[in-house]
Amino acid sequence: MKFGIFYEHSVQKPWSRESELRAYHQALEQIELADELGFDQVWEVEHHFLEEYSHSSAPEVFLAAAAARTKRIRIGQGIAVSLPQMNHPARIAERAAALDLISNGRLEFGTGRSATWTEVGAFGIDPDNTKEMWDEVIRAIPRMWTEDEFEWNGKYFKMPPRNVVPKPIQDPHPPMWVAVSSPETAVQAAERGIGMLGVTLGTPADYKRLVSDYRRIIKHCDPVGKFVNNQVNAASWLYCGEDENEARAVGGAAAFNFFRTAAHLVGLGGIYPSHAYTAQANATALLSQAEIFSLREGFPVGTPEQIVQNLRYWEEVGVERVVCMINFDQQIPQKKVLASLERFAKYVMPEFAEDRSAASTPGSSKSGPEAPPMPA
Amino acid sequence: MPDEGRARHQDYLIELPKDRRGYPPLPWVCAKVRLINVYFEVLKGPLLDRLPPEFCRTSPAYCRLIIAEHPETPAGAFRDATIALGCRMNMMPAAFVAASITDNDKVLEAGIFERGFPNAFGRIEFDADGSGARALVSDAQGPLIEVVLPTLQTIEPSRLAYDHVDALKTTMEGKTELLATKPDLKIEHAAICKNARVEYPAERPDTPWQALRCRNVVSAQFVRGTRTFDAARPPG
Repeated sequence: MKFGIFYEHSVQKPWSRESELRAYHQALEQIELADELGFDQVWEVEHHFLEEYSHSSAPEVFLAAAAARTKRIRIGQGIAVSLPQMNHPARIAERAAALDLISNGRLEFGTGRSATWTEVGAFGIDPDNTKEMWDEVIRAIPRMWTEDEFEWNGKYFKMPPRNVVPKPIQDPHPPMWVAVSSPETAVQAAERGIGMLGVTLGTPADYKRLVSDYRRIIKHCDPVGKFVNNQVNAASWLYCGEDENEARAVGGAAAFNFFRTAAHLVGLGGIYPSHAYTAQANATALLSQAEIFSLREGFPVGTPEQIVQNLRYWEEVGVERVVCMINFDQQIPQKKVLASLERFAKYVMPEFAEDRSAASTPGSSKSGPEAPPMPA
Repeated sequence: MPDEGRARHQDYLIELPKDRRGYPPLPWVCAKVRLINVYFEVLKGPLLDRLPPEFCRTSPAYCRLIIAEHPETPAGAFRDATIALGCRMNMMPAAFVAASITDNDKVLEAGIFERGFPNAFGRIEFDADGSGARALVSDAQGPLIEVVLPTLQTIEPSRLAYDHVDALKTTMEGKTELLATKPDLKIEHAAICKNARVEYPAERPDTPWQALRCRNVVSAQFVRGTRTFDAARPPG
């Protein structure tokens, strides 16, 4: 099993001039330590206008800084919003390739389409079309990375022949992923041969059926990229505490903050009826997620022993990577966040050392090439 | 922390009718209802000014406008119009009634004493055919808000899901009581409109209908179905 961390850059009110500055720079310090400790991946979301919840609208900039301060940890765009009205596909390809170069070939490229009215509505995007847009964009980008004369005449964007440069250093290109929060998208990820980047913050039980369907269908996929990225990433929280009480008080509170802040987002399913998003009078869906209070099985919040046990649940359902938020809303003092990472590396990671060495590396899936050499 | 509402409960106190004429016992099952539902964005300031402190705003701030025609009910035919503030209460989605009007005396009395809304008398024009819909809401001083759905597209009713509505009711003791009215609509036909307009035929900026001015329509729907007009209960 591989372990990673991920960032929303949440910034809770009351804000000062330094609030965002502190969030960004503390995150960089955490990533630098995570790299030294042996964490495998760091991911950052792309969100727009989601005040408090996520001030992470320029992930490529942040991840470039993270790449420059680290040597080994994989750098994940989780995700690049793949809607032409928000990000022109050529700009997505260019920025991702630049990030792959800056990081010496450590990019994990996540894709997705956004789920809030706040974002989609701001860019004038018809929510009914976001799935189709995403599908078109993810087919174009690998070609931009690998062709020296790329031309596109699609439904949602068109381009005359151009050489999209730079090209990524990973050969043939970085592993591709899609953010998955529904059974339908898990299947679509498998059909397209791209990684399943779970973003629902669910339990292993929640993921079990998704992973099962994904693994079954990807065997017969028609990959949109040049290779199949048959990997599953689950998302959760991490706080490795001094003892159980401290872990629950600190880590549990941070997890609760996530739901408190997320509850104030305006999801498309609630106020925009669309075949592309599940209709919901949101109360029901949020009520079940509020079970986080009880720190259900699978959440790596607790003592090292409890975390090992919880991570085993993920293994049992076929998840080989777990990435975690480590300080949502910046409520945990930086010293405690760093200590939690150190405890996790010292006491939890060794329990999975054998799995980690055997786990697949980018490009090692079904038909993929070896990972590229690291330039000097 | 998300922004909390800054309205006072007493802002929602009303003068109760002195002469009660009575109304049929609730619930009323109202068949053949036609209803327009519009979500639109508003500025956060006016919304927070009208939102009680139990609630927090969303981002962006938005309102829900519900205008309905009920041709067959125990209280007789009536129309009602409600503007509710999109919000959250204890992390749960909610919609708080900022203003509500009906054109039927019995409905008005039942609304005031059983739910907290509708609690004002007014006039509502409602026109709909298979291709479009329009409604105009007025009070005694004149027009307040007009909504136009020029082009309807039929959708599966299962694509719609409406949540409960909260309101402050004035009690007999002259206090306020926060109540929730559960989702009340069984949808038999549904349509969306992608070019809906919210308009203001006359300037009435001091009314909630216009202080909560539409900045951007999110979505609009026209539905037919059965609506249950029921008493409200404490939320939760």
